[in-house]
Amino acid sequence: MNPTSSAPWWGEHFLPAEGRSLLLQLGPFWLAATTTGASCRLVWSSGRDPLGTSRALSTVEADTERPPGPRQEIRVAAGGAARTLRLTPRLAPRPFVSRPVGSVVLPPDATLDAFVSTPLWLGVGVPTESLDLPTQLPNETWFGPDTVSGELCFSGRTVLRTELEALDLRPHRAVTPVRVVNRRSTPLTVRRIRIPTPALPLFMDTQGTPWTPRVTLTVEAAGELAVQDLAAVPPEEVAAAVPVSVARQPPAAGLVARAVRALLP
Amino acid sequence: MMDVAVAPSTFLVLLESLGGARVWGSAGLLLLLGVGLGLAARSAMERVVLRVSTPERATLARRVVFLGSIALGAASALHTLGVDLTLFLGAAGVFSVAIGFASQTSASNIISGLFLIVERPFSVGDVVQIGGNTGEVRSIDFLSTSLRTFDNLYLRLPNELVMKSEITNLTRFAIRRFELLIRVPLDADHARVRAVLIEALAEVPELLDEPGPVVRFVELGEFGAIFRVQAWSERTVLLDARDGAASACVAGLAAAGIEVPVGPLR
Repeated sequence: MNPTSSAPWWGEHFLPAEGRSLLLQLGPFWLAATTTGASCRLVWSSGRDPLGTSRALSTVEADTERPPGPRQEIRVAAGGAARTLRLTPRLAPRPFVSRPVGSVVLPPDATLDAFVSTPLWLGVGVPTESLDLPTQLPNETWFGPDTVSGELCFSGRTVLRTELEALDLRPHRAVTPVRVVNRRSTPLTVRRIRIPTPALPLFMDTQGTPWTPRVTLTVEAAGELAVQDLAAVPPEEVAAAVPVSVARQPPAAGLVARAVRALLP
Repeated sequence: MMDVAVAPSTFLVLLESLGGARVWGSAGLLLLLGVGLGLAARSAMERVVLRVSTPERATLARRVVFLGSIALGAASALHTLGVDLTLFLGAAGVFSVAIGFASQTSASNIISGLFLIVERPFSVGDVVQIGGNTGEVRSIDFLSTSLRTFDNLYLRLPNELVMKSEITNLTRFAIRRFELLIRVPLDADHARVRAVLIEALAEVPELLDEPGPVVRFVELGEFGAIFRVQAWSERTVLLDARDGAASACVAGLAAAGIEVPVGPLR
């Protein structure tokens, strides 16, 4: 496993000459870009292991390295002299439903501050974006009041961390600070938290950890709908962060989203 | 020769007796105007309806506008020629009775088609089961609905038959559930079988986390104990999900040393 590197791996990079490949390893994700004649061959593999910590961008001899899992391949016509590869970290194209291990009960008028991590997607372009690849293959789930109304989301089981120090920071997983506010007069049991990843921009801190703005979910007294409020700036937990990608879809004005499914006791 | 020489002059006399060439010209222009307006208006109507409704309703609106415009042009032309249109009302009454008897089925198909478009149990592109027929809906026309079967055959169903039949829309909702029956030895530990199957199904990427897979004991059959596995997937990958789940269950049971007995399932 390559040692982690603090140099930015995203952005635009020159492709090496023929016979050599540009190799990116990001957690369970593996990508090799090789120039062959007038085209660029991209080989990649997205793993399922969320615990990978590798983060390295290097130049190697072509076809000497093998992806750790099932590989996919594409050849992109590179045209004339353009020999650059653009890597753009992005958030998931569908909302991500986090299911805490063990339910969390929030007393009336209480607030829960927690951190949820979601896998990154990677925009790969030669040089314009032509691929949108998951760094880690997540499961899928249905989020809605019944099997007719709702939406298809990505999902994962998480240990809901409430302290930043206890958080396992991974280069391929974006951290979202979540605030859940219970305005009811009864306790709120939180079994699922839906992170609206397509509506969030992405930032990188100085250590190369991806962050999103804070998401605040307020459960009103009237029903189980949670009003979501999305910030547009990096969270206060991050001292200095640079923007790396914009939201895939701007949030609709006046949107009331079923971001939290609370089951009444 | 005599007949040919006489025929044009007789025709002109006939024309004169019917109001002259000018009147005929006006009538012809009105008819052409009706057709032209119909052609222009139907495209505009289709675009307007498409913005707020389905393609089937847009096609219906297009046809209504076109035929209506031609009918208006024809009525104006006949009126210009001096034809008393009220005569048609009386004749229409008798005619409609005759047509009604002769075209009950066609009228029923047309009315059924209108109800299908309004009620929308399915749309073009949906995969449906109508009676014993399954296929992709290609069009919903005035008299019939056409399907493309999975064997790539063209199937035309009269709308009356469609309205009377049980319709199952296989692609209306985003997720679907499938079922597998798994047989294990009669003396197998049921709790262990459930645990092995649930663990095996967790490795199938097409299956949804929620609603999650469910494994339940069904009955003790002649050749073994039967368990029912129910799992959900996104509808476009249903077949892959079912295939993957079946393979995972068989592999999981084999790895756990639980033999799958041979014999009919029920």
